[in-house]
Amino acid sequence: MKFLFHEALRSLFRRFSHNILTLIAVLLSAATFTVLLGITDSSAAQTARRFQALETPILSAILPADSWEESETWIERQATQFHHVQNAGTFSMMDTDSPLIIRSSQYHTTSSVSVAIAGKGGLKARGAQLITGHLCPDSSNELSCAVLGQQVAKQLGTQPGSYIDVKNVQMRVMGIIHDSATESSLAAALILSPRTARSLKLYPTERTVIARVTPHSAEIVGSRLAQALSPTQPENVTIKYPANPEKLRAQFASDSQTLITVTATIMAVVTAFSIVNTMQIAVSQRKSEIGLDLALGLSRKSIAGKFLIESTFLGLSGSLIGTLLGSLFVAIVTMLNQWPFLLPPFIALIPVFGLVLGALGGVIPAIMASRVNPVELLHST
Amino acid sequence: MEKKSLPQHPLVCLKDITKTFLPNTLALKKTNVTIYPGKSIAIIGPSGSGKSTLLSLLGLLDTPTSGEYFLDGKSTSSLSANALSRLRKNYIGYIFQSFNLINYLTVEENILHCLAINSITGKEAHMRAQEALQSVQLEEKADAFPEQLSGGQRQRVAIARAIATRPRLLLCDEPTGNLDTHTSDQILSLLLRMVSPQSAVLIVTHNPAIAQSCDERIAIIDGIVTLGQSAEGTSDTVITERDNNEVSLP
Ligand SMILES: Nc1ncnc2c1ncn2[C@@H]1O[C@H](COP(=O)(O)OP(=O)(O)O)[C@@H](O)[C@H]1O
Ligand SMILES: [Mg+2]
Repeated sequence: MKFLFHEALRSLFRRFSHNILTLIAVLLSAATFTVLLGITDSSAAQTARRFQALETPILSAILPADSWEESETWIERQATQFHHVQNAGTFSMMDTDSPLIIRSSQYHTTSSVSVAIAGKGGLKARGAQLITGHLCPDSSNELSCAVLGQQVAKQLGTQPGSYIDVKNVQMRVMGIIHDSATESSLAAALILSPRTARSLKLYPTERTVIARVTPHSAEIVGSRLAQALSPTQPENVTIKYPANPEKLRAQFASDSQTLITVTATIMAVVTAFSIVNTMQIAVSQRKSEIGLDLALGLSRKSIAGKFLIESTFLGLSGSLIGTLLGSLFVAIVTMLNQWPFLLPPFIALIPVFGLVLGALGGVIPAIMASRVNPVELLHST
Repeated sequence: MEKKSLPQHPLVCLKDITKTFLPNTLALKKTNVTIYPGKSIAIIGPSGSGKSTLLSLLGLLDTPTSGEYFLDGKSTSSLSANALSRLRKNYIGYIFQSFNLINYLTVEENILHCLAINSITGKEAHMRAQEALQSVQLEEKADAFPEQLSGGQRQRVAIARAIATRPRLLLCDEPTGNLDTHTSDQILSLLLRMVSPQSAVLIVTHNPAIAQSCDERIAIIDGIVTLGQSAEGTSDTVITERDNNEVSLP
């Protein structure tokens, strides 16, 4: 056995010029496959990372109509009891297809607005910023308090302290806000506290409570939020999660799965053919060597074994070098692009595939080698 | 096994050997050949007469269609492939017209490769390779590759390779077919020197002078052994002509 290994490896190295092309073919296949897997994973991770930067870790809980009975103070306390929750509170938008016209009592200017019903905590959770004035208190009995989006305030020409008419009710403008960095719908909105909205009968059927959570904790909080907001009927609460970057990456990976599988199959077939071809050439070029070995008394099994070892080693070494070079390439590309460097553990199996391909590709040539007739030695010239 | 005292038993004994190739080539007809150790035998005959076929049967590379082959007194018919390859290892050396050196191995590695198949390795193998190269005067070419050698040198390497395993039966099929006259003479006289008391050398040759300097000659025409002479007057006829062969004598 050791003798066969020695013989096989020696002829592989000594006949290097005959094997180099196949070695390169195997190498390129393995490298391409590695790069494909590595780049796919790394770029998916990069996309997920970008997405994560944009992402607002905000959970929504949609409560049934009877939840409007609950005070905003209670809602906020229930939602913020989890220490992963930074801010929480009601934030419900009225349907935008039924805009409301409001009027400045002072200048008689008007503005078509959408209506947001939001508690202080809800506005904070959304990331809305107060420009001037204050937010309406959640618990006050003062029912004529309103906050305006910056665009509405500009249209009306109002400042905090001035009055507006909403459905024939005069209300005092408490503050002016602009929406969070990633949103804009509040700019054209009239913001009312839940109590005020109730008294004006200006609220949607469902009450939406939003909660801003610390990164990666959406799942944990979500699983408990329904129970906290509706202790008697948590099943009536619908929780909406922000897009999960991890899931997103997995999604990207599985999207490219088909492409990778097809490419890998084609490369495997091409590589196998290349190995079969090289080994067949090797057998026909070395008929006299094989005949001599047979004449000298080497068994046919050993002859087949020698060629099988050669092809196996060709597959293994080519794919091993290819995987290493491919990994290096991925490392360089990710470094230049400042992507995270990710290689799926699966690539460790590429050399194993190479070995198996080499062994399989060597079977037919090895059988051919073992069938050489030593008598040909006498007739060859 | 070997007894110093005469008469020795024959190394090779072919009894009524016939070899046919499909579909209808009768390459050897009812051939009887006896070879004693210590002899050199020339095989002569026109091209296509069956010389190589005879050699391949003697070398156990092929099996006869009928008849019996005794090697060192033991019948070789009905032996398994493994048993045959063991016999080849233990008894037989080959030298071919086209040298059949492995071109990606050095001269010494070619010899060591052959020894390794015969399970001779390490110091013993190196010693034998050196010895064999000395006897063909190619010690200084041990590390050369076959391509760097002339035809005559290559055939000397092949001889060194064959004798390194110390075969009892050295079979040479037109060993000088690819060489010029002067080199041929050198190679053939070298081959004749390889005869030891325990071994025999068979040489297929077209060179009448060499045939003459061999101890015995076998002439084949159209698969029929027509001539067997005993140069030293050893009483036995080495070759027996079959009656039914006589019709085809020229
Ligand atoms: N493997 C084979 N198959 C068919 N015919 C063969 C084979 N080997 C030899 N022959 C035929 O047997 C005859 C003897 O051939 P061979 O022994 O090679 O002759 P020589 O060596 O004397 O030139 C020839 O007619 C040749 O064509
Ligand atoms: Mg011939």
